[in-house]
Amino acid sequence: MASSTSSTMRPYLSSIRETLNTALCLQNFPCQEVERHNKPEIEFQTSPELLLDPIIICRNESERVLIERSINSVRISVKVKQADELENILAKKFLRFLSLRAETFEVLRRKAVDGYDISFLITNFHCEQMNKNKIIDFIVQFVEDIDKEINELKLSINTRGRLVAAEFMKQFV
Amino acid sequence: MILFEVENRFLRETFETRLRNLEKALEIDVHLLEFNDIRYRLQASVKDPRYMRLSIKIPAASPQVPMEDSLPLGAIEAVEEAYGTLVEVQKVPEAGYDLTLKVDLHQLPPTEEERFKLMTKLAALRAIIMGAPLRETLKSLLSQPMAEMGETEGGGLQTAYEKKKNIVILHRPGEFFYAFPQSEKVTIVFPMRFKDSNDAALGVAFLQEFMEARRGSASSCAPPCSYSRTPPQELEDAPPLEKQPNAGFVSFIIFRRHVDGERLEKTTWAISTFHAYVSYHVKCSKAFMHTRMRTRVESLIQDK
Repeated sequence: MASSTSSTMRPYLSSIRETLNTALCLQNFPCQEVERHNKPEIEFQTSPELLLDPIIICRNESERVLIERSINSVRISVKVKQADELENILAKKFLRFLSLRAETFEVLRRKAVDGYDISFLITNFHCEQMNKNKIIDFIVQFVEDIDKEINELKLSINTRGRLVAAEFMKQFV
Repeated sequence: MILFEVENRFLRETFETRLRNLEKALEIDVHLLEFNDIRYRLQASVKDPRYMRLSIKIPAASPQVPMEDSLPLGAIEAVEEAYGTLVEVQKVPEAGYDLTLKVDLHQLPPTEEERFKLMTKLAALRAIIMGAPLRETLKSLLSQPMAEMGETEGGGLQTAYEKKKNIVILHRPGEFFYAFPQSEKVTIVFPMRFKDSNDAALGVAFLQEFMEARRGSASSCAPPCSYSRTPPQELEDAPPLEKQPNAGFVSFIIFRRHVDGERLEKTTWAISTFHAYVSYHVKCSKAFMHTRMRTRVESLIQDK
C-alpha cells in the first residue's frame, strides 16, 4: 500500500481487503429454479439459503463499503466521501465517467445500489478468468484512488479560485 | 489569459489596416459578434473615403433596467467624452443597430502612436457604452465633498442619494448587478446565477476565495468584498429578481481611492466583467476537471 495513505485510511483499506479475501470464495452454481440458467444469485436473491449476511465496513458516516455475498457472486458497493457540495459534484461526475465506461471494466455495475455511489459485481466466472488477488487489489486500489483523486481535484479548484480572485483584485491596485 | 481585454482585437486590427492605407480608399464591410451578445458592423466605402462607420447593437435589456433609446443611460455622453471631435454620432443609426459612429479620418491626431491609441479606444466601444451608467455612479464619489462638509449639508445630500438609490445595471442578458451610491462609497451587489447546480457549486468555491483574496498583501488596497448566501441588507427594498440567484450574492464596496484618475476606467471594466470573469473561469476549471478525470479513468482501465 502506498505510504501516502493517511493513517485512518489504512485500517479501512486492510479490512476491505480481508473481507474481500474471504468473500471471494465463489463456486459455479446453476440456477435452482430455471433449468440451464446460471445467474448471479446476489442480483436475484430468490433463494435465501444461497445468500450470506451482507457486511458493511465504515470509515466514517459518509464513507462505507457494502459487501453482499452469495454462493456464486459478490456485490461490492462503495460510498465515497462527500463532505460538501463541491466534493459531492466531483464524486458524482467522476463516478458517472466510470459508469459510462462500465463495459471496459467488466466487474463494474452500470447502476449503483441504492444509497451508494458505485457498485461492482464479481461472479465466479470473473474469479476463474482473472487472478483473485488482482481483483481484490483493483477494488482496494480503486477505493483509495477515488478518495485521493477527489481530494486533489478539490485542492486544484480551490487553488485556481484563489489565483483568479487575486488576479481580479490586482486590477484595483 | 486570465483577464479580459478591454478592446475587441479584431476591430482594432481592422482599424489599423485602414490606418496603414490612409491614402488609398478601401472598401470595408465587416460584421462581427462579440461575447455572443454584441453585434458590430464596420464600414468604409470607396465613395466616401473620409469617414468610417462603426455601428453597434447591444442586447435587449430586461424591463428592470432603465434605458434610453435602447442604450444604457448616459451612453451617448460617454461616447462624446471619450472620442471628442473625431467621432460624430449619426442621428439615425444604421438599420438593425442601436448606435452608429462616424469616424472622421481627416481629424486623426498627428502622430502614429496617438492614432493607434485612439483606434484601440474605438475598439473598446463596448466598455464605453455598457460601462456608462456604472462610470457615472462611480464618478459621483469624486464630486462628493469631503466628510466634514458632508455633515453640514447632510440633509440635502441624503435626498439626492435617496433618489438614486439602487441602480440596476445590465452587462449581459441575464447578468445584471445593483449599484447603491452611499455617502463616500458605492456598494455593488452581484446576484450570482449559474446555469446548473454543478456550476453553482464550483462558483461558490470560487466566490469564497474572493473574500479571502483581500487578505493577501498585494491586494490590500482592493475594495472590500463579501460573499453571502442570503441577500445583503441593501437589497431589501430593491425590486425582486425574475430568477432567484443560485449561488448567493457578492458585494464590493468601492471607495474614492478606487476611482481616482485612471483607475476609474479600470474599476468600471473590472466590475462590469465580473460575471463573465467568474463564469469563464468556472468553465475552464470544469474543462480541466473533465480532462483530468478522463485520463484518470483511462489509467484505471490500463491498470486492470
